[in-house]
Formats: sequence, structure tokens, C-alpha cells
Amino acid sequence: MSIDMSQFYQVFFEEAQEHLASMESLLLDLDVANPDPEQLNAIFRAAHSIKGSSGTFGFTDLQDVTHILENLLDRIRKSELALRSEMIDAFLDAGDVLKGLLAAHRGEGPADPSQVATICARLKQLTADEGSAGDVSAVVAKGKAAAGSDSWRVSFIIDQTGDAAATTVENLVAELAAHWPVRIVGRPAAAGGRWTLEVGVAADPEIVRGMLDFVARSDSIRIGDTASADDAGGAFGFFDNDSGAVAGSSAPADEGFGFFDDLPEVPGAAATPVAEVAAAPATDPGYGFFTDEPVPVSAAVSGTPPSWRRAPVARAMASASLSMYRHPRQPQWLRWLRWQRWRPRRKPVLVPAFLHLPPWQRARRMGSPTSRPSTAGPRPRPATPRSVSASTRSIS
Amino acid sequence: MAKSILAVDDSASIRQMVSFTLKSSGYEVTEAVDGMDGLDKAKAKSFNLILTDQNMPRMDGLTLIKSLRALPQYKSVPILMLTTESSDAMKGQGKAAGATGWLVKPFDPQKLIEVVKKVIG
Repeated sequence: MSIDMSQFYQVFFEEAQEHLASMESLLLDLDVANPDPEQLNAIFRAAHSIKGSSGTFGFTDLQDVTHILENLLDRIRKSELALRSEMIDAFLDAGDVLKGLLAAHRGEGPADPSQVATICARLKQLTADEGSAGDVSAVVAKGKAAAGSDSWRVSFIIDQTGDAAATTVENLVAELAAHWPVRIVGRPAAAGGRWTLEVGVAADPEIVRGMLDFVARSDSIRIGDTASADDAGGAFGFFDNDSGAVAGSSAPADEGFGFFDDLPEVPGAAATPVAEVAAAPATDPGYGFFTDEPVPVSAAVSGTPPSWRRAPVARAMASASLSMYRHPRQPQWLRWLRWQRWRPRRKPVLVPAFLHLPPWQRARRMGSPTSRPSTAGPRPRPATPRSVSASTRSIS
Repeated sequence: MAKSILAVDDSASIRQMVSFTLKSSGYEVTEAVDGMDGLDKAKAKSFNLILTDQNMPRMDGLTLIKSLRALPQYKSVPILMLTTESSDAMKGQGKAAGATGWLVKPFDPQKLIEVVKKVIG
């Protein structure tokens, strides 16, 4: 079944236009020095929503611009970047470009690709400006200067603040210290800032990352001796690698979904989420089930068929009563003999007896004199076969 | 009887696409505009599957999932999140909230049907 997506375009256009309009008014309203987080969230959501639906309906140009826009807004929203007035200008311009693209898709005149390229570059520049010059490189530089070669640094942000954050980090350090030498080298100046730890060089970055994932914001974890944050993010996919086998078995690698757990309808599956986080493999950007495929219940039982469905030989071998016949030191013939004694007797097959006998005996059994062999036969005849049998018969 | 699905998304176009797609494969679809609305509708009626967006005003997808899992009738109903983020952090949060799985946006109708079929047949 194929679905014609164009039937949804009209709703999408209207929706995107609404989002762009609300984004614009929110931006114009925004106080640069002291932006309202709720407003920032709303602007982010507008961009995010346009991105999501434009991607779904195949408007990739809109998606690309909103994606960059969204990234920058997200960082501002999370206070990783400070809002500046040139950013607001760029956002407003981006809004105009998006309107142009939208109009082009509605068939109201062509869009200007150079404008799109320009705004993308501008937004990227704004994202990169502080992204590289900010905390990350400072952390890396400090790490390289102080750490030497016997340790490396890891930095992260945790959502808690104040004493709660300190306690969490202390616990984490205690946990790490059970394995490797570790110390805190950087504390955040303000809430939401970065913590930096120095860990012994023997420490496995993936394991450290895995431990950090429980307390820190996953996207904030940076392994210090790599130069760029992106590298660090890409290099250590702890959950990805860990669960790749599980999730990979359930969904083909290039699909876009996933399941977190055994599906509830499969009997015996835990309804509560298990402790370790399973995720799709890194090659699977789209979908994937977290653990087991939702197979039908009947197929979900174990692969070995019940004994009665196995081949007769296997069944016999599995049955305990016959095990005595399979003693390794028992000679074959003895085995056969015992089997002959114990096997269930079949009804004897009625074979005419005379077929197995020499002709003269046949004749005797049949009680018929006609087929008696002649005296000239090669074999000597028993002395009184007929008379004996005749007399016995007469007696009885 | 047709399986019933609750589709929660703040975007009207996505909602329309999802419900059209699922209805055309024979499911019964109820739409909700955000987490709050979704929760109310889920309480009023029982569903075989819940599809929810993550980023929504009033109540986001994760909160919705957590609230649903707290209800006895939704302890074991499959919940899929439709998300634009396929990051591990998001997956971790989704899993912790009790979601059954995720589906990354943008997705096409075929994929949606495929995933829904995998979950509820």
C-alpha cells in the first residue's frame, strides 16, 4: 500500500506558517540580556516541530535549515551558549528564508538557493563560534597541560545543582576509584557547568562513559584528550556497542525504530524497564527494538521441539528405559539378543510352511501323498515317514 | 475488532498523516494534541498501542509515558515514542520512562505500519 503524501501538504503548510509566525513574534519579544527560558523553549519547539514534519513530508531544504537552527537554539536553551543580538537577527533572517522556501513549495515563486546557503553558513558560524572556543577546548587544553601521559581527562555536566551535584560526583569518583586512580580537577563555577575528572591512563573510556551516563547528561560527556567534542561523541558509543547484538537481532540495520524492552504482550517479559540501557546499533539511525523482537507467542518458545515431535531414533535414545542397550562396553550381538527378548512381539506373519521345506517334508506337512519325491531322488528318504505319521494320526 | 491506537503529537500534519496511515491499514485511531490531552484520552478509553511525540507543549512525551506507566491499565500496553532525536541520551530516557520502543522522525507511512504491525499485529 502506498500513501500519497501530497494530501497532507496543505495542513503542513498552514502549520509551518503558524510556527514561523509565532517564532517571529517570540523572537521580537525576547530580552537578549535576560531571555525567558519558557520563550526560548517555545522558539525551540517551533523550529523543532517544523523540522520534524518537513522531514516527514520530504521537504529536505526546510529540514536542513531548521535542523541547524534547532541545534543553535537548543544550545542556547540549555545555557551552553549565551544569547546575543546577532543571533536573534540570524534567527529572524532564517525565519524569512524558511518562509521563502515554504512559499516555493506551495508554488508561489522560486526560492533563492544562495540565500539558503548563506543563512545556513551564518547559523553554523554562530554555533561553532562558541562551541569550539568555549568550555570544551578549555577543558582539553587544561587536560593536556596538566595531565601528562599517565592519565586522561573526562568532563561532563550533571543536571543536579549545589550539594546534590557534589554528592553525586563524589559517589561517582568513589566508584571509579575502585578501578583506577581518579581525582576531581575541575568543578563548575556555576550551576549547570562542567565537572572535570582526571582518570588513570589504564581506564577504559567506554566503561567510564558508561558509568558517567548514569549521572551526567549523556550528550555532555567529553573524553578530554580528544580534540573535539564531536570526535569524543562518535568514538565512544558505549550503549550502542553493548546492545548492538541484542537490538540488531530484532531489526534490520537500516530501519528507523526500536524497542526498549521485551514487549509487554510476550509472556514472561518484564514490564518494568531493566537497568541497562539497550539501544539500536550505531548503523541504525531509525528504528530498532531494544531487546527482543515481538515474535508471536507460539514462536517465542524454545527452539527444541518437544520429545514427541522429534525423530523416532532420537526419541528412543532420549528414553531412559532403553539406555541399558546403549552401554558402551556391551557387545553388539548381546545387545541384539536382549532386544530380541524384550521387543514387543509382532503377530506372526502367516507364511505357508511348505515354502521353507524340502519337497518331501512339504508333502508330509500338507498331508498329501501326491507330491512325494521319488525314490530316485538325490537325498535319502527317511525310513518310515508316512507310516509313523499315519499311525499317530490314527491314534489321535 | 480493530485494534485501537492513541496518536499523540502536537503537529497537526503529523497527526493527520499518522492517523490516516493507520486507519487505512485497519486500525482505529484516536488523536491527542499534547501529553495532557493524551493522558486524559488514555484514561477515558483503553488502547492497544500508544504512539507519542517527545517534544510537545504542556506535557512532553517522556512525562506522558511515565504518567501512563503509573496507571495500572497501562502497565503493559506498548508505547512507542516518535522522536527526532535518535541519540543515546534520548533512548536512555525513553527506556527509563518505560517506553517500549522508538521510531525516529522523519519516517514514512510504510515504516510506521511495519513497526505497528510488529508491536500489535
